[in-house]
Amino acid sequence: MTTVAEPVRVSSAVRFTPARASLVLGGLLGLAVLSLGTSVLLGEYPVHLLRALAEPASPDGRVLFGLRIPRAVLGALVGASLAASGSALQALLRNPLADPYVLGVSGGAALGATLALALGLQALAGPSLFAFVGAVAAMALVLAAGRAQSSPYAALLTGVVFNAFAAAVITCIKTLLTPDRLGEVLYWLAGSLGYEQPRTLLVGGAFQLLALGVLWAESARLNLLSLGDDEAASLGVPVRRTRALVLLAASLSVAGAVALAGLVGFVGLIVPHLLRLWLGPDQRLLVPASALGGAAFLVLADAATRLLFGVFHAEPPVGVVTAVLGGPLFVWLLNRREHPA
Amino acid sequence: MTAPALETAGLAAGYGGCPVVSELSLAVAPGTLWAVLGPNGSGKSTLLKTVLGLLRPLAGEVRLFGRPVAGWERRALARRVAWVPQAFDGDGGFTGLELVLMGRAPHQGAWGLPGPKDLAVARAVLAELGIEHLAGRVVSRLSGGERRLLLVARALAQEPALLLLDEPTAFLDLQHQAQVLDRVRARVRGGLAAIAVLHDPNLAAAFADQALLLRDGRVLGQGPSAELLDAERLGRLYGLGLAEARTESGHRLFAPRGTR
Repeated sequence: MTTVAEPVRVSSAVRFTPARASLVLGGLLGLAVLSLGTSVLLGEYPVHLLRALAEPASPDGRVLFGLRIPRAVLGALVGASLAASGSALQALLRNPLADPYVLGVSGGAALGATLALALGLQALAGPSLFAFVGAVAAMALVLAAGRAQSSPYAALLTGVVFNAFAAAVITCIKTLLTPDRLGEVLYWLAGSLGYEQPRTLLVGGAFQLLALGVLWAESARLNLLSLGDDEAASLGVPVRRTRALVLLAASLSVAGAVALAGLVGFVGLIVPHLLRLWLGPDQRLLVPASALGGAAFLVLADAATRLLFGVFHAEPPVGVVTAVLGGPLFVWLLNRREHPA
Repeated sequence: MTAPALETAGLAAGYGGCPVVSELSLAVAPGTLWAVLGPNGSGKSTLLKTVLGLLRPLAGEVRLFGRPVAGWERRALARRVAWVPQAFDGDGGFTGLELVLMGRAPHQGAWGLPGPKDLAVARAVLAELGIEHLAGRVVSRLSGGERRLLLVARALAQEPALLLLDEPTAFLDLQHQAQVLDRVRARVRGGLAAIAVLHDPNLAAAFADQALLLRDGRVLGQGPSAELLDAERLGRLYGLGLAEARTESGHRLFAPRGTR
């Protein structure tokens, strides 16, 4: 397997030790908390923290508890989910270019949301529900199609083809829509962080933590699976069970993230790769590090978007910003491996 | 009497219902090294994968340590049987030592944190093969031969009772070819059962106790290598004329009859 990002020299022969893992994860946790704090305090309306805490009903309090905190928490959840799933899927599919959306998830979710918007079901979180159902259905379809083949590439290719198919159907639907409906569809597809209800965030958070827990629990077996199915089996891994469990956890997690925030691109590709460059390919460290790093990255990207474009009283969806940042970064990562030691 | 490490009866193996090897009955006792010889595509690798339980037998039976292969739990089997695959096709981002430590996975807890013993075993195996310097190197930047040595090291770190080697000497220089088979031999003297797919009949004659000759999926012969391997039979196996010679030390050598 070709690896996109890997260091020329390594700090030590064994890079996963409890001491190093605690240090790295502690540092990344600090970074995530710091970015949450930054995002909560900064914005167009300057929040006075003490006043907001003392009087939740004051304008400061309402902005803090009703807008800033839910939005930052949403960003952290979505970023963590996309980056951790990306890392796990890259190991599982043995393809460093595997994006969490490859398994047809993005196409299915987009198709679901577009249908909901086209049918006028904005109320009752229609697009999110439809997106989640679409993502899960697409994933099931892709996995069923890939099951006939034992190769991990079968699922990958089926996903890519399904996404292209979904894009065509979406374009077809778009041509039938009125301009204002079309605007909503385009904004949703670009991936944006909105202001969710606390209950939605609580349910989403519990769901994402569960998925993350499964991925972390399976991470040592994921390391062995990255050697190939036969070798993993010869080293004692129950291949089918592990593969099914990781695919299920990662896909549901991504479907949940998409339902919450639309299609936020590149987080699941860039964050695991940058961390892999620093930490090595061990998933026991990469899965939790990606979760924390992804959370920090998306929260910061969202805060930066609000601040920079606040000047123009405009706000592009955060998915646009991650893609604009992520695209060039990825090309750079891809090319830097061509310089052998 | 202890059960053989590996026993097959009327085994047919292959992919998609199409047998590559058929009617194979074999018993590999602890403390013996078997060489499997045969032309490319004669079913040698398929045989090893079937023994490992990666492929289901099309007919007949595979028993490992007296128990049918399908009756083994994966982790329990991985503590008894190790495999050196033909090539490394995994994530090249791991270091040599990290790769070798993966051989300890079946002996560790599910989350695979290496203990002092695991590290000691991995380091000892690297030293035994003379490749300590590969411990901190990233696998994707190593040569084919160096990767091969790491795969052998990983299999030895697994501390198996049955070792399956698929062309362990491919890509290796002469010194390392001899060293790998010498280390395997040393463990065979200690009771290990080993099966090595080899392409060099000279190595088979020098290191193996028993030999299995496969041609077109059929057993052309099996038995003690000292009796089985001769120029006539090997010539039939590979379909070319072979000459046989003896060195001063008594080793037999086989070489194609040149046209020069």
